[in-house]
Order: sequence, then structure tokens, then C-alpha cells
Amino acid sequence: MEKVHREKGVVGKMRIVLNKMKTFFEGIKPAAGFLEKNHLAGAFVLFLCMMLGFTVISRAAASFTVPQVTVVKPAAKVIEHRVSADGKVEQNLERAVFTEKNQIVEQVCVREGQQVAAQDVLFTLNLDQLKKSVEDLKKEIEKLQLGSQDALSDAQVAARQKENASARAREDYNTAAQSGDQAAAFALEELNRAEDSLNQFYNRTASAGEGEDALLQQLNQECEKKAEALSDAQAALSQLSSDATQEERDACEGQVSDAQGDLSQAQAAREAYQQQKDAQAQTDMDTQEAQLKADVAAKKYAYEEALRTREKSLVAAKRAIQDADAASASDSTVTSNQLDIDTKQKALEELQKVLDQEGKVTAGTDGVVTKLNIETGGLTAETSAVTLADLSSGTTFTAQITKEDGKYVSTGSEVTLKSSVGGQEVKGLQVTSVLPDEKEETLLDVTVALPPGSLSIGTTASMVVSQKSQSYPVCIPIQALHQDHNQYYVLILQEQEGVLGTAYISKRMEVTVLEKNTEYAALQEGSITTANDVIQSADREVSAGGTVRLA
Amino acid sequence: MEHKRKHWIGLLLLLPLCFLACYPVWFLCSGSLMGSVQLKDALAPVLGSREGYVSFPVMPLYPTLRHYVALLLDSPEFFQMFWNSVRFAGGILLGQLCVSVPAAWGFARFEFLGKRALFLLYLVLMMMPFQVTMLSGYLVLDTLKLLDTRWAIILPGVFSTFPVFLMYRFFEGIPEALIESAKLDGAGSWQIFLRVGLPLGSSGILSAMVLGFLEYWNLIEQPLTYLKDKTLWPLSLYLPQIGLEQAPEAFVSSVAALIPAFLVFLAGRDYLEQGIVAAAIKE
Repeated sequence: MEKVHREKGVVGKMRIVLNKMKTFFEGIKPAAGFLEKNHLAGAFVLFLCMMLGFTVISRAAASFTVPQVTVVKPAAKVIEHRVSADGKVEQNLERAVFTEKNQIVEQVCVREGQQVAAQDVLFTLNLDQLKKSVEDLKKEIEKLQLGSQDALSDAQVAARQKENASARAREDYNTAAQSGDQAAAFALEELNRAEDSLNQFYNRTASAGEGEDALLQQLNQECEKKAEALSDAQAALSQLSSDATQEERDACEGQVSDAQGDLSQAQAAREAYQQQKDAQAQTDMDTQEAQLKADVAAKKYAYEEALRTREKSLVAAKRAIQDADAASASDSTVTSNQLDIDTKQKALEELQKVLDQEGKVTAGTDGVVTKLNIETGGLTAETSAVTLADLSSGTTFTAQITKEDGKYVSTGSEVTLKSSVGGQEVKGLQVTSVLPDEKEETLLDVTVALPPGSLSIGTTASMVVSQKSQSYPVCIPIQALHQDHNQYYVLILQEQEGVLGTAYISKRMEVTVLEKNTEYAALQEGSITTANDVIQSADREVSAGGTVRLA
Repeated sequence: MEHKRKHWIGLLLLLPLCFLACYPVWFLCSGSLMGSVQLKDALAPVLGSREGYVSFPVMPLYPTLRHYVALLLDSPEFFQMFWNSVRFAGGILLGQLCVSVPAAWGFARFEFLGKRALFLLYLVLMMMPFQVTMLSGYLVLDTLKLLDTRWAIILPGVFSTFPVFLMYRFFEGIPEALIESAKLDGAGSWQIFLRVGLPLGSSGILSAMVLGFLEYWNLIEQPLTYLKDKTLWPLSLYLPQIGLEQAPEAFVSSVAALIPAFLVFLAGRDYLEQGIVAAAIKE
């Protein structure tokens, strides 16, 4: 083949490379000749070399990206739960040493943590302040006593006044009753008199009804006479015969009519007089009756009024008595003063005692000073001045654990303590109590009673409680367990035949965890057996289904 | 002038056809440089769920070498298969050099009993497609315990009939006079073969090699049938299932598979022409 045209670009460069190769492969003639003639074949060889290079590079790149993993087979294990916590040894009993309040501390003779005996002086109080306090107290007591006296005399005076008032009120009552009775009696008499008059009047009127008036009798007689006259005239008229003359008839008729007229007049007069008399009598009676009735009414009213007045005055007087007799308010000033006096007296005695001791306050019992609430030059308070740990009552170790650890620690669990200073170990102890902490809800307080003389108060130590569970057939290290949204899973190794041969891929298997501690997790058999290879750790993140290789 | 005009007319007729033949290669190369989003969008009607026809852009909107990097630097599997293809092709060609060349020489220059019949058999076997001989081949390989090994591909290829036929043509074309003169000079059959036959028939050998390479580089059915072990698979089986997600990979691996064939073709173009001519002319 001849080069008929000028090659450019890549091919030209290849020629340069091939020339170089030609000089290199001078010894191998056929190869060199072949290469020189067939630059395309050279290109082919170059291409193959490039592919070889890429092969190596791609495998190297794969080695970087494919995670290296370590695997472990699940084994049978016993899950041991070890709960360890740090805590402190404290005393069981504490004693408080009190002293008078508002005293000035002259000198504090002990430190926190110092062991003291019963006779040791803990602190001394300022003597001047003590004396002043004593004086003040005495004055106060005196004041109170005087106050009591005043109260007593006041009480007596008041009592007497009350008596007087009471007597007077009773007198008033009696007077009121008497006068009231008198007035009432008088009024009653008047009333009775008026009633008698009225009754008399009624009686008189009833009998006087028959007693005739003379005039009325006369009038009646007149009427009778006239009536007779009339009847005579009429008779005369009738007697007249037919022969009588007109003059006689007229005279008889005239007599009859006169007689009639006289009769009617007399009757009219009688009627009028009767009417007049009746009317007058009626009015006279009415007026009189009315007057008498009014009188009776008035007298009745007066009587009732007298009764009412009497009642009123009696009630008033009674009230006055009640008021006078009312119990006076209780005044216990004397008693309270006495109580105050007693208290102050006692305080005085105490101060006096301290004063006698020259202001020194001793411990009272053997112990270790745990807390000093006073300072030199400061004021004492009502609360304890010094707190001592009572050595004789024994010591306790307390520590705090979380609620999850609390599942494995219970009363009676065996515990081992190790002091942080010196590494002293105490074995064979038992947990005394496990209680929820008062301040923190998520913590539990564990206490262990210590035998006397084992660890001193205030030492920090760590406790270890171990609880072993049953033996589980399938257990994996805790690093091999993963969690995803409340579902535990592990990644197991699976072989897969691929282009590059046997490759390993990771497969996600969901598992149920029966029990776990910080090192191992016991899984339920089924999805995982002891034959599976579980991926324990990897040098980069392993995704489920991705290729992995063994480290 | 006439000649020139005819030249131009001929060119005008041939260029579109040439374009139609070359377009797939352009399609492949531009697709390999295309970003995955654009590629997926273009191929969605074919491989995805969209309706309609594919409209493939001539030039990628945002050309990228990302897929090349991904394939060439991050896919060890590709290279394993590439070298498998190289082994198969190389192994078969080497074997053919050793076996088919002497066979062709034998057919061309020697007379023996049953030569015609054997040659006829070769011809018949040459015409048969793989599917016909697949089952019998499977049984034979199984009996020989060669299944699932490289030899299951290489050995049947080595003893293929086509190169024998092609080379036979070339060897037949060597003038008898040359052979005679070599014999007169005292050359034995072996020497005649090596010194006279091979150089003179080299073009035929090379053309058979080139054609053979192009064939064996793209083997699909044999590996698929005879090889179960994935570590032995050649490049043509790299993407057994091309989905939309692997489209960029498919394009780049196709380009990578194209290059050796392209280079070999370029190198052996002349020999190929000669081979085709030789097959046509009977001397």
C-alpha cells in the first residue's frame, strides 16, 4: 500500500509514534516492517492497548467504589446486660446542729468533710451579741408581763359596769310593766262604762216603745169622736125619710160631709203628729245611738292603744335587759401574753446556756461534717448551722441509671462496686432499692447498702450490675444490625454470577430482635440462620442490592 | 466532457444511496455523545411508552463525553466482554490460519480420493445457516465436554468452511508454472507451500482473515447457545435487554465495538476487494 495522500491530524501523529516504535523494535524486522506498512494495523494495535489501559483503570475505579466488607456468621450467644453507673457513697443518717438564730458567728472551727467527735467545738458565737440578745429578751418579757396586768384590770372594770347596766335595765322593765298595766286597766274601765250606757240606751228604747204619748192619745180620741160624729150623721142621713125635705137632706148631707171633713182632718192631724213624732223619735234615737256607739268605739280604741303602748314599752325594756346581759367579747390577751412569755423564757434559758458555755457549740455526736451553713462573721439562721453525717448508722451507695437500663436492675440484683480512688472492689452486694428520681423523670435512683467499714463517705465509685439472659441461637454483633423506620434489618452476603465471575451483592433481610445489649443482638430464627454471612462492617456505605467485596 | 458529466451524474445517483448507508453510523456516533435526557426523549416512542415515531436529532443539543467515561472507566464488565470478543476473534483467526490455509492449499493443488465429494460437502455446509447446525453442534460439544467453555466457540469457528473456499480460489489462481519451477529447484511440498503458496496467496489469506474477523467479532448465536457462564460472554451480548435506561450505554458500547471492526476493515480493504474479485473471476 502506498501513501497516496497526506494524512493529517490523528493519523499523522500516529505516524510519528509508529516511527518511534520502529526504531525501538529494530531487531524484530517483520513486526517493524508490518507496522511501517500498515499504519492502520498500528492504529488497531494502539486501540487495543488503549482498551487494555481502560480495562485496568475501570477495574481500579471499581475497587474504589465497591465497598469492602467484613462478614460474620451468626452464632449462639448469651446476652449479658451490664449496667454500670457512677455514684457516690453517702451516709444513711444525718444530724443537724442548730443554734440560736440571728447570732454572729465568731469562729468556725471545722471544715466540710472533717471527722469530729461529740465533744469537739464546731463554732463559737460572739459573746457581746449573745448578751445583748439576752437583755432584749428580758425586756420583752417584762413588757409582756405589764401588758398582762393592764389587761386584767381592764377586765375587772368592765365587769362591774356591766352589772350596773343590767340591774338598771331590770328596774326599767318593772316600771314599764306597772305603768302599762295601770293605763290598760283604766282604759278598760272607761270602755266598760261606755258599753253599759249603750246597753241602757238600748233597753230604754225597747220599753219606751209601749209608753204612749198623751198627745197621741188625745188625737186618737179626737179621731174616734169624729168617727162617731160621722157615723151619727150618716145614720141621721139614712134615717131621713123620703119625705124629708130638701133642706133637711141638705142639712144632713152637710152634716155628713162636715163630719167626714172633721174626721179626715182629725186623722190627718193624727197622722201628721204620728209621723212627726216618729221622725223625731227616730232622729233622737239615732243621734243618741250614734253618740253612744262612737263613745264605745273611742273607748275601745283607747284601751287597745293602752295595751299596745304597754307591750311596746315592755319589749323595749326587755331588749334593754338583753343588751345589758349580752356577753362581752373574749379577751385572751393575758393568755397569749403568757404563752409569749413562756416562749421567750425558754429562749432566754437557751441563750443563757450558750452564754454559760462561752458561746461554744459542740457537735453532740461523732460524725463527719457534710455541710456548713454558716460562715465566720455571718449571721446564724433558723435552719441548721452544721450538718453532720452520722457514722454509726452505716453508709449507702447511690447512683442514677436511665429507665432503659432499669429493666435489668431490680431489688436484690447482684452488684459489684469499684472505688474510683484506689480501685478497691467490693463484691457480693445487693441492690437495696430502685426508685424513680424525684427531679428527673427519665432517671432511676439505685441504692446499695454497704456494710460498715467498706467504703468511706464521699468516695465516688462505679457500680456494675450484670444480668445474663438465656442462650440465643442466632446472635450477631450489634454493628451488623441496622434500623430503618422502626424496622430492624441486616445485610447478608449473596453470591451472584456475573460477567466478572462470582460477585457478592448485599441483600437486605428484615429481622426481629429478641433481645440486645451494647455488643450483641439476638435475632429470631427464620429469615436468618447461622449459615448466612452477615455484613458486619464496611469501609463505605453499603446499599441493599449493591455490589460488595470481601475485605 | 461527456465522461465528466457521466461522472457527475453517477455521483449524484450514488451519493444519496451512500448517505443512506452511512446515516446509521452517524446516528450511532451522535447518539453516543448525547445526554441521557435528550436520548431518552428521542427514543421514547421506541423503547418507552410514548406514541408516534422516533425523531432523532442530527446533532446532540448538549454533547457530552459522560457516557464514554462511564463506560470506559466505570464498567469492568464491558472490558471483560471486550477481551472475550478479542479472544474469540483472535483465537478463531489464528486457528484458521493453522487449519484452513493448509486445507485450502490441499484442495487447490492436490488430487485425492473423494476430493470432489468433500469439496461439495464443504460447499453445502458453507450455505447452511447456524440455526440448522445448532442442535447437532450442541450435542457434539456436549459429548466432548466442551460446552460452557471458550472452545465451544473457537473450535467450530476454526474449522469453518468459508475461509477454505475463499483461500482455495486464490491458491487455485497461482500459475502451475511457478510450482513446477519450484519443484524443479528441489523444493518439497512443504517448502512450496510456505515459500510459494503463502506469499502469492497472501492477499486471499488476508481477505479471508478480514472477512472472518468481521464475522467473528459480531458472533451472537453461538455464545448465546453454547455459553452459560457469563464470564465468557463476548461483547455482542453486553446488553441483553436494552431498555430506555441503558440506551446511552448501548450507544457507547456499540461505538466501542464498531471501532476494531472499522480499523480492521480499513486495514484490509484492498485485500477485501481482491478477495471479492477473486471470488468472481474464474480462471
